Amino acid sequence: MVNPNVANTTITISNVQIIDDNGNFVYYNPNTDSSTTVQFAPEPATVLLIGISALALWRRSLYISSKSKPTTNIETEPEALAP
Amino acid sequence: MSKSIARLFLSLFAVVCAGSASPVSLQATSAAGGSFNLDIDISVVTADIAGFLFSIGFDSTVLQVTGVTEGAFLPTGGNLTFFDPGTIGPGTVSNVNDVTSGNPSTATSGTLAVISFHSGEPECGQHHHHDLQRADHR
Repeated sequence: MVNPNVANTTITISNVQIIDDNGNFVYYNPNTDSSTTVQFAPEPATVLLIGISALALWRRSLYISSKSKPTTNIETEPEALAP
Repeated sequence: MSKSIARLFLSLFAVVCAGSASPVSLQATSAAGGSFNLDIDISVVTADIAGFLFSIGFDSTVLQVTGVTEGAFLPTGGNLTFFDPGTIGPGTVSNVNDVTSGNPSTATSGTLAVISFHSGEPECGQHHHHDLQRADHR
């Protein structure tokens, strides 16, 4: 299972062996030779999924905040009667 | 004594080879929509390259390899080439190699091989095929 939400990753090349016409090594490196970090855009379906999830979270937070509001009872003092 | 000298010489040779600047570089192209190609490029001084071998490492939780193809560098010699796309494993493509049957490459730079990657879920076509198969069994 791959993770589609990661937008950059590193790729390495190793055990590089290059030989010439006589069969001699022009270059040989048995270790990690070089690497590159690749950045790529997530697929449109992934972007849509993230957008829908964010919207759902936002709606839920609104719902929770409306439920947790303290109720306030405003009692008004009767106005003093004029003498 | 002679064995020791030979070992010393081989060790020095390996260190010199490993310590020199790499003629190989990686170049990602068309990184859009979750799929991209990685060119394995080479740049050398003299045009007498007759073969190569390398391995690739990557994060298999992020990427999948969808193909390994020969680049245009080695076939410039005009002879038949024997390209082996290597073995695709989890997070690796091991021992990608190519060799000419005669004349070496006439170029000093070019692309050795191209690795195709895909990120994310399997292609939509694979899902559709799977759904069709399930529908047939109903």
